[in-house]
Amino acid sequence: MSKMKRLTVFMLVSLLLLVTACGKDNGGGIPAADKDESQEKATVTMGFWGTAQDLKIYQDAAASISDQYPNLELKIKQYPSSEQFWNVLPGEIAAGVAPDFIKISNEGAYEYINKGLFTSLDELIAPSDVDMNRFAASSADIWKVDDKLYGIPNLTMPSMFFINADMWKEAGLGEYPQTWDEVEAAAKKLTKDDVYGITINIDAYHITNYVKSYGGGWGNGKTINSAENVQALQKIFDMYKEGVAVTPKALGYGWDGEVFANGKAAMTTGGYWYKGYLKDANPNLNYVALPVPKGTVNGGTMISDAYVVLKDAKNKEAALKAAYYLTNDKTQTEFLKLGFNSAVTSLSAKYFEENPEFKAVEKALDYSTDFAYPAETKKFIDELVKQLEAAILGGTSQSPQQLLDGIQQQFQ
Amino acid sequence: MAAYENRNAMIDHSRSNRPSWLRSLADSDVAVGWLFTLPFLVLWVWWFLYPFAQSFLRSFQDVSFTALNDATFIGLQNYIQILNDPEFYQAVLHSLQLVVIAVPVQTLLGLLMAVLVNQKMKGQGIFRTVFFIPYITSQIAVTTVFMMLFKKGTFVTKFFTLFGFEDVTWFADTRYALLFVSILFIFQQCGFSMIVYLSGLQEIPRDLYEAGQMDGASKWAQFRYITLPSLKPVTFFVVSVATLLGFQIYDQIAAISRYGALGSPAGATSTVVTYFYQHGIRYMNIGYGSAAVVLFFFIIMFITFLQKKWLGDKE
Repeated sequence: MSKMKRLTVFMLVSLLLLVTACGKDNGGGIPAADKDESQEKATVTMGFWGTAQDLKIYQDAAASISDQYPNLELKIKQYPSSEQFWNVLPGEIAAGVAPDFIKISNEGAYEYINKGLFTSLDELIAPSDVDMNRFAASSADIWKVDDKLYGIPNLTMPSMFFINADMWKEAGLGEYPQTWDEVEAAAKKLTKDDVYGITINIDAYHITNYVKSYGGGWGNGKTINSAENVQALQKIFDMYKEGVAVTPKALGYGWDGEVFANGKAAMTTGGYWYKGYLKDANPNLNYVALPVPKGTVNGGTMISDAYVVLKDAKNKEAALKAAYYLTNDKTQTEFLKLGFNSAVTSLSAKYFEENPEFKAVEKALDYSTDFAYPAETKKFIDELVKQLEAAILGGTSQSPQQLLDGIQQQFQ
Repeated sequence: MAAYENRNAMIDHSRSNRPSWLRSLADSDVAVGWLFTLPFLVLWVWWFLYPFAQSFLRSFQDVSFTALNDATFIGLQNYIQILNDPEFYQAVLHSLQLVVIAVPVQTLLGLLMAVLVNQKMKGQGIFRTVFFIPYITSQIAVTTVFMMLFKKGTFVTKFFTLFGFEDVTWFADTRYALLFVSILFIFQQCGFSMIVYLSGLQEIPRDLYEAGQMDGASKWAQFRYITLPSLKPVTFFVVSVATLLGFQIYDQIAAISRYGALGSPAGATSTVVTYFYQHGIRYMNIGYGSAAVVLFFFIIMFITFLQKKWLGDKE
């Protein structure tokens, strides 16, 4: 064989190997689909709320989706805030202009599942070549209602408790707190001038973390006035009464992260999004992230984001394929760098290496649980917030027991 | 002259070529009037009458916003439920309070500002523009600035302590939140009242004032007996519009309730509109929300009727 012929054969074999390798895996952890370019191109839209950094990652993924699915075009629609998202979405669904699939958190999903607005994915999984074994079972389970799967999990992360490390040190405090009693004691020492020991946002997410740490929960509306929940609310009331706690609103801020970033409170409950936010809002802030302190038990909420196909999506299979594509290794790794713990098992293992500031929270993955709000979630959240605001900002004399009894009556 | 006659002859010829029904239509003032009104009428039917009829129909149904085809007729049940809901009365009360506080103040301020900028003085145009700017600025932007101004510890909240108010964040305090919204509304609407009054002032004949001066009327007497009566139709318009806008206030409340429940803090700023929005849109119960809207419509109609009776031009 001449030298030229040998070179040609070598090149052809190399090309063949390369094509075979690409056919097995696109490097994103998702097996490549059959590239049937004869089919008509489907356009699907994904809706989400999040930061500009999130948008960039999604736009990059949308730009590369045709490598995996040549007949698929993905458009990204960003909503300005979670409030806007949840308020606008029903109108869009009614008008038939909602995105085909959305990224949402488990915090508000149950109401929508209950009202039949999301597609059950079980029958679409096989034809769309979705491999659910890539995801942690605990993440997928959050998205199952009555044994039906409603979401392709994107991330799973327990709630957290943040402390301003510099303030803690300046106050001469030693070990970080593990219980709410210790938090309360520390808050008294940290409160001075215009700085409060702790900010407690009157918001269902934060309140739920308190009740879960006392062994309570909402039980989908069945256990709103349980003794554990009353005990948790009593702790919150106590800290306000002692003047060591403040709501973000009372200081003119929108949410707890702003209070914490501006050094107006030394402690707060929060979540993984603090990393990205604090990086922009106050890069010099020295903080520590811990699991939610214990009331009587180890407990807290588990936040899980997932991609959910809406019931009126024009092409549900295409929407599911696009949703699944967004869980590819490359996209998920980008999110991992922003502090998102991927629901993909192989990547989740690297999460605490990439985000060492959250290492202390790892153990909370074992015991943190879903929100379990009542089916009329928004109504419940509004009522809970309203009653707590009336008690804390309005000075009504309702006890935690009376407050929760009143809400329980509405959600029997 | 010949050209003019030719032209008229051509017009007559062209008219005589038209069918008789078209000729009689063109000659009828009523038909021409309807023709000119038609574009507005179509839009009014499309944008108001049809949605209102839909709302009226939905108000007798148990229907979700996201499943409009699965409606069940439930008669007056939505109305009965609303009329038994203390939150509805609270919302109506807040709407009334807001209108009662804000409308007279912004009407008076608008009149005062209009009289001021109607004087011959230096920088008249600048004053007119400055006073009008809040009205054309985004409501959310103005609300955001006001929220910064009314935070605990600012010079504004400290200034109000001189009048017995506490130094607190106004929009986070259940005692002051509605007053905060009222001040915000007054600030934004004054410019509009001023412009309407200004046009009214410029319509008053000069000779009325000259006659007054000749009779020895003081400035105050001229204002009291010439200006104010002449502005009565304008005042009716300003008060009516301000009342309607006061009842419909939403953006400002949504902005201060951001990150909390609508009507925050603790429902202190809930109004009839937020009540409707919360039930109809946020909780997706469009039947219930529609019933609230229908009730709201009749409340506004009744108040406008009273205003017309007291302030309207009898003629």
